[in-house]
Amino acid sequence: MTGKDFLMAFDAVRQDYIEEAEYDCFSASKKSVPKRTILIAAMIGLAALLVGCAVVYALRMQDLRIGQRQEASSKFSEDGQQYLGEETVTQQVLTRAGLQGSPEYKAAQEWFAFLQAYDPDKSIFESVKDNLPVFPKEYEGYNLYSKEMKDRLDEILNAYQLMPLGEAVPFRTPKLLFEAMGVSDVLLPDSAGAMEFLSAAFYRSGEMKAVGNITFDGEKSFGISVFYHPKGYFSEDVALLSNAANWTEETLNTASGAQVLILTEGSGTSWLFCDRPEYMVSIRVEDGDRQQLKKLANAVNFDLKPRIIENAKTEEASGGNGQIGDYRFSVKNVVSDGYTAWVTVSVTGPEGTKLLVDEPSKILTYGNEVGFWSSVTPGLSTERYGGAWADDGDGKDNTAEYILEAHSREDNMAFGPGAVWKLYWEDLRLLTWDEEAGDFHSETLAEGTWAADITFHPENTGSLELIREPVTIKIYCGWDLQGNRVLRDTTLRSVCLHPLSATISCTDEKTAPDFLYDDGPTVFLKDGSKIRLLGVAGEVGKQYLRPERQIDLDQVDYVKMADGVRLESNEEVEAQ
Amino acid sequence: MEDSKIIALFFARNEAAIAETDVAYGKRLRGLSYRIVGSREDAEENVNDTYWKAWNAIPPERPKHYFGFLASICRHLSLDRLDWNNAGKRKSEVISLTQELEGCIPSPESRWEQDALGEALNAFLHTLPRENRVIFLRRYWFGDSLGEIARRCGLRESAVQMRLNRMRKKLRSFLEKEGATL
Repeated sequence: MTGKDFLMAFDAVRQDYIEEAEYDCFSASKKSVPKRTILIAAMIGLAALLVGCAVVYALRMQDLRIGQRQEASSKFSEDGQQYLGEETVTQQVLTRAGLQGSPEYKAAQEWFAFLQAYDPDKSIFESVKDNLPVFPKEYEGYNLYSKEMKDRLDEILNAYQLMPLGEAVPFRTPKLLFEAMGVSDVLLPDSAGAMEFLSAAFYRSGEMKAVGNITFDGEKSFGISVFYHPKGYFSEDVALLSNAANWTEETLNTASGAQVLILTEGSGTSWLFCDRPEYMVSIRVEDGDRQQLKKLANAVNFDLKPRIIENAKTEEASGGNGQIGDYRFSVKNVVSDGYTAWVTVSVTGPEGTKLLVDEPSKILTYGNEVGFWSSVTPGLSTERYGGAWADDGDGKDNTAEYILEAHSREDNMAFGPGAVWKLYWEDLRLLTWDEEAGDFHSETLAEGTWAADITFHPENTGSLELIREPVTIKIYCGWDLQGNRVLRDTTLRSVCLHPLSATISCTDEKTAPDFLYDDGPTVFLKDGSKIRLLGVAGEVGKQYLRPERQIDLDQVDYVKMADGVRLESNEEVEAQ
Repeated sequence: MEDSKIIALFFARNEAAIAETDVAYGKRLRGLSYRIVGSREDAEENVNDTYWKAWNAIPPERPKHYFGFLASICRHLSLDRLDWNNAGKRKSEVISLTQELEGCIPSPESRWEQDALGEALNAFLHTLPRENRVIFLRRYWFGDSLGEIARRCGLRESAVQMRLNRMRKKLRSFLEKEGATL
């Protein structure tokens, strides 16, 4: 029995022991209990008592409400054990464009009323969804799919003398957008919060949306989406509140002088609104508690006026060798079989640093995952990419390799001869798993972006097909409560090997098959050595795999599937 | 959403079950897988596959301990997909775990099946006081470092190390009594 077998035998450990080990010894972060909510009716009663006492106007939910709509929602039995189907719930609809009485509010109300009546069964959308009409770029900020919709929108814009949001200005990363705006992010300079943005969008009008996570003083991070809606332009964005009776509202006057309306349901999503002279700002918050909402309200710069400075760059220039802070980067090696690419990046840190982190709860990594690869050659796309650190063998702690792996589909040879891709490495970060927060804590070691153009010249784009007639094998299709796997038969359609990738197809038309269990599938070479195939991705009837190391197709003897079926290689490798 | 409701969604073949599972347990599962494979991308893949397996298993199964059920699948997938040949090179903690447990691993001659070993492990865990059981599983099931266990349980690292040493000796003698050749 190997060490791996022994660790695998731990699969049988009782599931109640596993939950005990997960939740014991740190009761603070045991599953959260839904908080008691105060009925909004009670709040309204309280507000009524206070009428006449308050002299300062307070922003209220009612100032934003433009209607209500019906929405299907999952319904459960009282004990929560049975799903009883869908039920119709009423949602309150709040505009995020402006306060009651403003042109933005009136336009939003009319547009919402139009959308409620238009195409109720979605038959118009269904008829055009594969060939959506194209409208001028200034309408990019709206979900229009017919001329009737655009005409009605124009009527509303004219009636209230509002302008459309304008075309979207693409920035490769949120960081580049903020640089182009001349700010670091949406927080006040002296705020206690730290933001990490995952995506952002900007329109010519100054409409800006940014999505990310915020952390206060090392507490658990929570997700926020911040929206700046410029006055004088029309925004169709709304906030939808289900179970209106469960929502509470509170107005907070922040230290920076902004009045913020906080709407919360007690768990899940909350909303913050702030009306400023030139902008209406709305913030959607995921899983933030009341104290965090208040901290957030005090941290956000509600007076930010998103504007792009002239000649701002939207992406970085490329360079073969580069530096981020004190860390040097260069492309060491590029290998491709047309469908899969392995790019080895050499990284050198300052003297005294240790790049290969020993602690299991820490990982050294890049910052922004979105847009790591970007195709320079039109029409190419990756299915999945990833990477891992490896020892470069020079014996120095401050140098290491990062091996990037990217995969494309069989029908899209993304890394074929002459294909050019741009590779980005943004920041260098140390992630530390925070057990109590149940999330990674991110520390930026070096800030900046290295970009490199990579042209692929694969030496071998050949393939080897091992199926000549239908073969029945067993595939993996689930687990029972005891941890026993469930297998079932399927018929193989194709087992196609490339030097760096493999695709296995079967006759399943409804499910994504899983051929990976035990030691299979494994490629056996003529010299007796073997190369295991590992999973990459799957789709209906197909699974994409990668070999542990490069396969010399001419040396393949056979492939052994997980259930022991052998697929012999007795045909010539097909050169492409 | 509560576990019972998520499972009810699975039974109704409602795909919201996956999204709700991710909200409830996604981060924990990513952390578990990450500790084993040492790669964020691979951990993400393993967690997605865990949901896929859960979708196939429920129904007919109705797990009583839903997180335990998911975590078992996720850990199995992560160990199964770990590039064992390069795990040492890539500084995987799993290698240290197998080294620590070396003295407890039945030899090939003892012909122990994994199922039988699993039963014996459960019997062994049953003999441990609750706190020690948690420490043992945090190390050898979840793959936590000694420092993490110490922080979690309010102990010094040396105390955790000492307890694990004793438990490994106890496991060794327990397996020998059960008939394993070590």
